[in-house]
Amino acid sequence: MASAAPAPDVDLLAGLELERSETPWRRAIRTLLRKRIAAVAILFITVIYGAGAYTLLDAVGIPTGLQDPVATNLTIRRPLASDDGNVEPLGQFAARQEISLSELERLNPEAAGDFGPFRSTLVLPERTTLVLKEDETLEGPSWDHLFGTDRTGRDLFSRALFAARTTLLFSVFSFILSSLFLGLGLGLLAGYKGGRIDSVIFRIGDVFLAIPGLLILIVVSAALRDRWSTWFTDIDDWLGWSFFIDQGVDHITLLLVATSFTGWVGTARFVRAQSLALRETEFITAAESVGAGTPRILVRHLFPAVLPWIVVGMSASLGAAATAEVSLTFLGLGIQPPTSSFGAMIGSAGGVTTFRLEPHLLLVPAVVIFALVYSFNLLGDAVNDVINPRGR
Amino acid sequence: MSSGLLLFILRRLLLVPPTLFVVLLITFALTQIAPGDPVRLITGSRSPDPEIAENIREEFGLSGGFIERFSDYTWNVVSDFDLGPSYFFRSPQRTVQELLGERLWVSGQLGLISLALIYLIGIPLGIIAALNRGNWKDPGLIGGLLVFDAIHVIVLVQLVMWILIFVVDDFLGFFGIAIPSVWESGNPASYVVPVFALTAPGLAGMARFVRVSVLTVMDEEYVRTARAKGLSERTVVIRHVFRNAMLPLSTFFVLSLVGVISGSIFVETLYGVPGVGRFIFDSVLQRDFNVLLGITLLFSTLIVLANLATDVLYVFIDPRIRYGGR
Repeated sequence: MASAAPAPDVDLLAGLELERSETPWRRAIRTLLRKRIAAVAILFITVIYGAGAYTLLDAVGIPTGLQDPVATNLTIRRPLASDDGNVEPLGQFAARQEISLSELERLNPEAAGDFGPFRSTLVLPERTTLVLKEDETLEGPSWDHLFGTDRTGRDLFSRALFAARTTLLFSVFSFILSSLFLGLGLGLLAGYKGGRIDSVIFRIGDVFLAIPGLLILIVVSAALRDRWSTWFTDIDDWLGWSFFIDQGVDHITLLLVATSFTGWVGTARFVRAQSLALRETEFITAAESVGAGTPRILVRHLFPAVLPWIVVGMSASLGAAATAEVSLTFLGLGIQPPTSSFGAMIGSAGGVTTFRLEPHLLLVPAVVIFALVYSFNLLGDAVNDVINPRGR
Repeated sequence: MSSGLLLFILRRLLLVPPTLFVVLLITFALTQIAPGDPVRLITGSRSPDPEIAENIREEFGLSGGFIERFSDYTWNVVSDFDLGPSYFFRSPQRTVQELLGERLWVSGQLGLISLALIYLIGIPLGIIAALNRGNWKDPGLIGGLLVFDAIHVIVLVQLVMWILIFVVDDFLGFFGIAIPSVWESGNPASYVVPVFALTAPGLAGMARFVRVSVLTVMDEEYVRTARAKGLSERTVVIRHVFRNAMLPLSTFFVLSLVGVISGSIFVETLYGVPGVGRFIFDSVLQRDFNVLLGITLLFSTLIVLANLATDVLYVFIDPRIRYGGR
């Protein structure tokens, strides 16, 4: 059609400022990024979630160069005997353990006195134990271990990254399940349909609001835990692998179920109020008049209209999920070892003396989780300001 | 009191029993799916003597079908506040209500002090933030308070303990104050750590709520009228803004209450306070589901009643609201 229409006279339009029309979304994002606080918050969230996503590369076979977050670097003492039970000379033993004799001497100052000049052919008494590896527990930050090591010598930097992965997976799935799926779905349904469906959904919602959120999380996960793990072990056995149990899928899904139990109520309430108002608008009446069914109206017409409000709630919901993981794991009901999580790191740091003696144990997980939750708080405020400027 | 108001209160009151009934039903059902047979938990044996097992089932009300057990439990709760026996405290056998009774006082004290402080400190801070809209003090204040909200309570308690006990202990000692490193009953200094850790996270929410409320009122026309009359800013704020902005505050009470209850689980556990919060932690470890059931019921009742009270209170404070038949 461009060929058919005469080209506009450029000179006529020269004085006008041509503005490309902007979608509301694009405008909202631009306004948001112009707020410095929001930009910094988004940066922090991206870094933390990005760190978590980075560890996923390992799962698809791309080496990440991270240290094993599970393996310990404790002192290992081995009885000086070969596999067949025969006592072997020191040189042979050292070769088998891939350690030099001088290193062995350095690590075992007491035994070294007995080594003597013919140390490589020396046969030490049976059941002598020798330290084979440097103790790497409770080290402070260094180039080898950016955040130091914990009580069993695990590298805190890689543990933090894998904990970020747990938080990332858990919060995103929890948002999808409780806010998008349950909250949005039930809210739209209740608001559009009204009547009995509405009152049933929100009577149930009222009941969940009457129980303190953390308490219902505790009861749900404490009650379902053992059965849940049994089910996943059965599925693993049936499939002939051990993926679910090894990756801690059972614990993370239970955590998801527990948080979704009550997590949907807030979103659903809000969506309901919005769709109640939208129900009376012309575009819905128009859709109805041309014969659109309930599912079509819900998905094609109401859903896009309430979506901005879901995005506002997203910030709060992702922050709450990160907090819930820490709370439940601390109570022994969330992520279980050896899977790394911030709750597990905070829980195992333990005790007020940690702050005095090994502050990095507590500071690493605490600072990361604080930065994440604080960023979500600030971002939520900023997004709210952009979408709903009257609240300022 | 108008008959409409009375009807409203009556209608709200009638909603309380069904809500609590469904809470009980859900929680009870959950504790019943809990791992295996509670008999095993109680005897600590994988294959207990069938006779003993039968006796225990009888004693703990575990025999019979779900409906029978549920109606028995409900009847006991309703008729004489009997929350049943504890699975863990067996020698001598204690009931859940006894165990809760011993722990309620200290938790109640800490909770009430903290709630009072959240209101007493949060309200002025919210007003200050609202009056400073447009300059750095407003976002600075709210942002600062949000820090306490974002630090997880578990970390906050340990941070406060570390600061009070190891960093400023000499300074406090100068005034003859020594903060104990665990809860000591009867020592007033023991209250500092738990009360701080329960109060600080709630302040941000309260201050933000007050701020929005004050700003909404400031946009009202009667405030403009008051200014136009030539009243001093001070009078406008105190007489016109403050009083109207405080109206919605009662609705915030339940949120603060839930926050304090959740926080108490960690605060009491980490500081060794022998209260209900600590009891929740212990009961999770001991798998004492009867206790968890009782505590859930207790707190839900508290929240439902608090909700009812704030709704009724709101009608009393704000004469504009009419609750007739809708």
